[in-house]
Amino acid sequence: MLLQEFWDFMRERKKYWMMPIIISLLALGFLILFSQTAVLPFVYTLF
Amino acid sequence: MKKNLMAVLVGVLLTLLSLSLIEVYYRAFVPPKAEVFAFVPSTPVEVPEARLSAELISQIQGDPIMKWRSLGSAYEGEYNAKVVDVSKQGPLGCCVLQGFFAPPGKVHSRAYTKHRDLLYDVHFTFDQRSRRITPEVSHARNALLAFGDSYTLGEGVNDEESFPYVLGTYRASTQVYNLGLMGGSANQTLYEVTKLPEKRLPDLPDQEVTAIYTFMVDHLERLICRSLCLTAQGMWRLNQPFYSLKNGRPYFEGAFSDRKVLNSFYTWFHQSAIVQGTGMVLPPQFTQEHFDFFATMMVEIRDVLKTKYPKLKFYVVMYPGSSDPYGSDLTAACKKRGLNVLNYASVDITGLAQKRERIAGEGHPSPIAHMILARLLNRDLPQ
Repeated sequence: MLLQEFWDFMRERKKYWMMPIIISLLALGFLILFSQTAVLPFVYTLF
Repeated sequence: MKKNLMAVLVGVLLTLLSLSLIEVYYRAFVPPKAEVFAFVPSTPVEVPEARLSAELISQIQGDPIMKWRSLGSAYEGEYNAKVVDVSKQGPLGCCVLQGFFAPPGKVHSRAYTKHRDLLYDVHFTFDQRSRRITPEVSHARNALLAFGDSYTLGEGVNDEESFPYVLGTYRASTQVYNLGLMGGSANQTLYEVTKLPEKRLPDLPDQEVTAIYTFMVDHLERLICRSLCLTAQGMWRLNQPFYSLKNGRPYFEGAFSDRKVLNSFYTWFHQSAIVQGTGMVLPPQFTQEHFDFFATMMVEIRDVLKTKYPKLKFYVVMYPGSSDPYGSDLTAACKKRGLNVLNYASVDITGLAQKRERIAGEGHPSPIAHMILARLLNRDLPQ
């Protein structure tokens, strides 16, 4: 819904330069929020 | 139209500029977020703590092994060095395409903190096929093959403390074989049983054979080798066998280090201070696709073993605690494909071991944890 509003806003006001910024922010946010690193690497780092 | 495209281009330039500024900030002020040892919460499973009988809990907590070695509480301190008394890479090294196959005989292995405090000091004994020794049974009626990684091999514990050995002491007519490998994985196991069976597998004509594969959480990482494989800490996984799915079956592609284009991209990705500082990973999560892939690998391992051992019973074992948070999803994916699963993901191994389930400062299962798993397996595997 929020994205739809952003899209309408950009079309209405012709502010297409905002699109790459919003896309990259969403991608970064998704990666930061959902990255899982439940591992135990130190166990083997010296081999 | 042209004006709109120009606006998008300006937006791209502004984005790159902003990212560059954030990158500079992260490089200057935010330290890299290392991969961490995670004690993740339990998820609901089919062998809950409640189903462990009071008798079994009292057996576990009253066992002399609980008092053998005072290893302190679970993970604490900083692990720094491992020493094996063999030159070059050492037979206990891990993580090459064909696995490390130790020469027959004894190996002395020690681990220290960076302050040179001893974490463990143990001996490994290997048989002629590079398997860690287990109790010898002269007239065995059946056999048990234990596949897995260092948890199965018993890194950090003595020969007689590894769970395959302890399980062997519980079963008078079963010859147990410890086929654990340092850095072992589903990929490594499939490679081993398909390409190197004569090097490792016992010849057991007409015997009832049970095989188990013991899963712990890092096996998913080793299965697909995410972008973490291209970090300094994760790089050891790069030399593991790499399988893809073709026509619904695992297809051997070489080693993960052969994925040149993807590895280059992951290397570039992890060079970013933003990525290092926020702990981003690609792909960010393990999904149903990965759980299904793991289950397919297990099916393939079972089927290959069945050609050698027609009376085979194969089980996937979820290591207590450490299989979380994927125990339930993996169990479901395996069961869907007709695999037997012993899901111990939510067994409260910390409570059972009275907070001594790991080698302090090092992270591998302690002798107590091995004994607990052996008791669970003895209870649940067919005699």
